[in-house]
Amino acid sequence: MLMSDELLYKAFLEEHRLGLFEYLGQGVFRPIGKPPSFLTAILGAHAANAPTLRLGDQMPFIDNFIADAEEFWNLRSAGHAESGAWIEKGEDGREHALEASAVWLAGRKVLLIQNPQGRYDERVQVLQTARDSLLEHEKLLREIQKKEILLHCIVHDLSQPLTAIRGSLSLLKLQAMAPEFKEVLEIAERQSEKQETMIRGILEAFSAELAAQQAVEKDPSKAPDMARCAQKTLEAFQTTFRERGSLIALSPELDLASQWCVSGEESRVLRIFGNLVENALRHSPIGSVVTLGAIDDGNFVIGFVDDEGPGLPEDATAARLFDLFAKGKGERAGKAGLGLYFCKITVERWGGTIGCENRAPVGARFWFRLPRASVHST
Amino acid sequence: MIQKKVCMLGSFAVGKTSLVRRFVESIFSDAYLTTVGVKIDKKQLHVDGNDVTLMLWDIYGEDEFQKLRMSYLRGASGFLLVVDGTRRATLDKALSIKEEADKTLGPVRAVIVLNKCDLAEEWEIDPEKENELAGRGWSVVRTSAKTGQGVEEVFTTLALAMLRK
Repeated sequence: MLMSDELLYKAFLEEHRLGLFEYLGQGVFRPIGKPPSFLTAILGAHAANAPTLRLGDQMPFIDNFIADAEEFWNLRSAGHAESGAWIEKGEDGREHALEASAVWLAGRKVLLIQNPQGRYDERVQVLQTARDSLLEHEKLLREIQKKEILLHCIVHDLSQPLTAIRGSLSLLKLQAMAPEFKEVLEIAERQSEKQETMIRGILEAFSAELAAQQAVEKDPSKAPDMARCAQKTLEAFQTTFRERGSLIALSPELDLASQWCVSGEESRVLRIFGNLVENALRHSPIGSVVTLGAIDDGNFVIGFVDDEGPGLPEDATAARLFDLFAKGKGERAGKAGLGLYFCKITVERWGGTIGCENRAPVGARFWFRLPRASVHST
Repeated sequence: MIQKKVCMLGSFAVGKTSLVRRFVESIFSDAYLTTVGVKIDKKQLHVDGNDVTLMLWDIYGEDEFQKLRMSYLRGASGFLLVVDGTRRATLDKALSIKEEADKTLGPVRAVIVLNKCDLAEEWEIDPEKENELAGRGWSVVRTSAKTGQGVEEVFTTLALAMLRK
């Protein structure tokens, strides 16, 4: 026996998990046909079977969407207005993902409520994966920064004194001394050599791991663009500056259309710009401007951050400011003195240089110079 | 009964859903489950001699995959701008969302929530920055959805501010 049209329509709505309501105004709706089971679970059997109902009473999200829907209906335009997804809990405690659309159907204002659960779950899964990856990437960058700092501590703070100790032991060895002292000296030499080997082993282990984690982008088409990085940094910091009553701007001479690709990796170039901008902001008076830019320097590109602060401290040298734990002085000192140090070791690893200088009449310029991508990749 | 709409705003994975769950259901889970769309919860409070129902709009975190629809904020009496204290960039994002929201709706009561304060070792927000925000008249509260620290306080602070407006 063939199904009646009414039953067929009901089966269609149930199959497509779709509820249709005619809008009567003032937040009141009339169900067109019997609402499907997922809506009955949310609205309750009594409300779902009523001749008219205020959907917003059970679903506050709909109350908010009615304003957009009314705007659409008043325009009498083709197509539909979409609400975006929202979640409702049914009487059974289960969560249902819903989407609403406002449409014109046969001269009536109609609201469609759909439960696209499968599509929604897929979307959640894709976004979950993407965001997990982003978080993992951010975490990895922080870890790499910590490891690099540790690595350089080992190089500079442990290796250098050891070299001096070994040199002194060699000098002592040239002196005439009693055999028992000579034996002690040989023990000291062997132990210092052992220590040097151990340090070298740690360094090699770290270097291999770091090299694997952060290979420089060799493909010039994927290399970071210094000017674009300056622009992205500006966008990231714009609000912070505005909130503080200061300005951040791109240098008017910067031509974004030019070729600014450099050796390195974009997220780290952004971090370098970010660290330099944070440093500039810390030293800038309210109402002043911090300017970002890039300069063509033959086979290199120079990225810079200019501020209008008091300039470099009198006793400061560029080398000292970029040292580990160089925090500056006074209340505007940095957090731990790691930011500029990180910039230095990253830039130097990519074959670049970093520095700072006073500007006339006021302020300071912090700059970093990196090889152009095409030059580095050969 | 007074009813107020409160929007939870901020980047993804800052803990908006966890704060709502901790506040409404006293539950916390370490697993990060991304929010797609909007979820609305209710919680009743007794504040300053008034019974208030907070309608908590937990709105997906904004990023390159999902842009915030300003129409969701319509009718809101207050915002919680949630920041992950271990990710400095989420503070800039929160401030930029607030700026956008102010442009659309005019000034609305807001509290900056520096969440995940149990992760002290990884904290990235300078005390200097916190003081600067507070100095500009912002309410800044440190919370941990994990331990519950500051959670009741932050919702109560906002409820009070909305009632006294």
